Amino acid sequence: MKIRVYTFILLSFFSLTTCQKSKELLYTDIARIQFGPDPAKIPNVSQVTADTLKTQTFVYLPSFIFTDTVFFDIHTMGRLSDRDRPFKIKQVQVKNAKNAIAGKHYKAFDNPEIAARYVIKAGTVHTRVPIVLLRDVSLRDEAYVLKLEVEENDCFKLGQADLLWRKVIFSDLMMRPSIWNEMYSNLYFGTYSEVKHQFMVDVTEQRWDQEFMTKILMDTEQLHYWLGMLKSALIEENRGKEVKDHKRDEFGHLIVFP
Amino acid sequence: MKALEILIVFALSILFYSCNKEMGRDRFEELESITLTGLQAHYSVVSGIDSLIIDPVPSSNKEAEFEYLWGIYDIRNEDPYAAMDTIGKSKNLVYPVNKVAKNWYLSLQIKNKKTGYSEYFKSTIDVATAYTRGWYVIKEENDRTDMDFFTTPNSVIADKRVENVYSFVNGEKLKGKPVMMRFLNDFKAPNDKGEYSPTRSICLVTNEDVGIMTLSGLELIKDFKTLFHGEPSKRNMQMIGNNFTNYYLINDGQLHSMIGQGPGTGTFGGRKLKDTQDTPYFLSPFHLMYTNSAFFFDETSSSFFSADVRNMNLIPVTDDADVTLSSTNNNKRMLYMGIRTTGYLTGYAIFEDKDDLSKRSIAQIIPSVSQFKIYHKTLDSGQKLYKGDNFALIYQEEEVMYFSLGKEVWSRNLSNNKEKLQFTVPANEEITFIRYRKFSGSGPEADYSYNYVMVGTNDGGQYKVRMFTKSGGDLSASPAFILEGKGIAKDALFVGPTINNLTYPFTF
Repeated sequence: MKIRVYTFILLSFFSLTTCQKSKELLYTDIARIQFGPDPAKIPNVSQVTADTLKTQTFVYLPSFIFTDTVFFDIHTMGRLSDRDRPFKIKQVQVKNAKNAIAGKHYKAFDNPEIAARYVIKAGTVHTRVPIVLLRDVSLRDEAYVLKLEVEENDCFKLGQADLLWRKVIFSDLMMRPSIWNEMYSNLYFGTYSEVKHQFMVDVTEQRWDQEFMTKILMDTEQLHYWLGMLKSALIEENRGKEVKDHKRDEFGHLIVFP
Repeated sequence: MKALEILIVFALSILFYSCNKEMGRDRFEELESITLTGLQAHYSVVSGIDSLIIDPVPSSNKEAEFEYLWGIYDIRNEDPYAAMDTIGKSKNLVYPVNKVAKNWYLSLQIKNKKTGYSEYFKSTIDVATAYTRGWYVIKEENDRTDMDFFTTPNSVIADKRVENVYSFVNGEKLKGKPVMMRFLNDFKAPNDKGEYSPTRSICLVTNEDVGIMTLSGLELIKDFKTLFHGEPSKRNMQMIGNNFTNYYLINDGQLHSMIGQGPGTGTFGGRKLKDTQDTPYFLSPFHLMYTNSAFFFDETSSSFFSADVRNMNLIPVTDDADVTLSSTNNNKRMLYMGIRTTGYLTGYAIFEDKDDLSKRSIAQIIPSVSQFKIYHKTLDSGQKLYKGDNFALIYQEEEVMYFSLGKEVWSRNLSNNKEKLQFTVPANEEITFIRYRKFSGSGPEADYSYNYVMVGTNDGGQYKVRMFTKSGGDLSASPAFILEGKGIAKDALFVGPTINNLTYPFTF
């Protein structure tokens, strides 16, 4: 009796766990559209969900600049077309967050000037989707989030479910670049704070934004050059002062580079 | 029992479906084999001058009509998608070689058109240029540095001198006086696609500048201005070296590093800090390195430190239990340090006491981060080594150090401390360097093997580098040959196609 029960449990377990529906869609003659990585990164399977979130700040830009553009890569499935194929994106609200407002924080996706850019050109399978951010005064107080999703239209059905969205968080404040994650905090940069970020910008005269940090993190020698400069500058800043007077962040914590 | 029956049925049904139907794919014919004669395993050619002329003779155990595909590709290409260049589709290959000087693979695919069967054959090609085999001498003329080249067409014995090849190729001499010269097997330089790849290079270091150039054509890859992320404010170059995995550079006492194996742009990072307080330090140029070890001596604190390319600080070392001199704060100034052996990394150093300059000592160094060993002996002022200069250690072989004393070259047996006069240079010459170098070639490189103690001298702005063989630590009575030219020589170095990262010890 026991053997029968165990066998049943075992078989049930196998039948429940061995089959799982693939996230990837099979090509079935239907053109689909979805976000994805930079085409140059496609051979690298770990890059499939890269760039889902981007951060952007106007704080480094001169005061007379009122727009900035963030790009996301979008890809099609299915056959090539010999005509231009427009695609549609829409904003979706993020719970418990300051959601960006169309026309105030970003140029609305149905703005004819913008919508005209949302096109897969004839004979291609990829384009970069421009999101035009607007420098509203409210961005000086806090960061806003803009989550966007692709929409079905006459040209494209939806692609793979987990590749339909992208998110951009932006402000006119010092913002933690998304690449300044926990791993790089532990390895190189320490805990994020606006005071530390501003210190880094002031000492090095570099932006320390997503683009700059991504670039130097790929080059150990360059990274060490900038980190060495920061460490030396912080030591100089604190030299001769009591620990209580050492440079601290907006939370009162000592600023350190590991 | 019933359950057991169910299990058996279940297992049998799996077994039943797991077997494919036999489709009768057995073959009882003899397998085809294509054999080839007339293709050597190895070719050596000079780019721009030689052609590969090969007339292979294939045969098959089947009725055959062959077609041919010749290709060439980079033996060390790090790009997994790198394509092979097709260089011929006929039986006979006549290929004027015009490739960058390095090792390449020659590939030949032979296909039997009647059976569709193919076999591949491969040879290595050492592509050289006029500059990829011969002796180089780094020298000073009027506070500027240049390099002479000596051809070696038949053996390691120098033939013709080509003067000032650095300035001939790059337009001007290097600023400053010569410090050192090194061969670098894998310095990152942009290739013809603009991608950085390991490049066989020659590195000249002067106290004011650096010239790292391709061995292939001696074209400059990096100078002091382009060698750093953030050019240091003061030019006081002391050394560049690598320990196989990483590169290290000391400028004005400050250590910089760069990854050697892996992606990179041949550009050094910022200076390393000594500690979390950025305590000032000033490294001696002398160093001990091998594979992934690197040790340096801070003249300010009289302390040894290790270094690692991923660590932004110098790494303190700790003494072993039975040392006779501490590796930290030992109040010494370093006059010389070099590598003795690398199977087990050891070296020797000559120290001078900071408080009493009349106190000099020699020490055996066995470096380690956690168990640093220094076995230290005070030198008696009557010993020749006490007033010696231009020190040179024998690497791996005899336990001997050579040094100059005025116009004399002396040896010191490091086991029994016996000193012996080996050679006296003519009265009108002064010794400018002593260096030991060795290369063991095999096959086509056998004639380029050498094992020399090199003694450089200056006679009124003319240099001589005497190449002495040695036996049991004693120099031969007269040199095997002499390199001569204009200027004051500081070092000499032989390069050839099979000289690699590990041929010469990374030391002074």
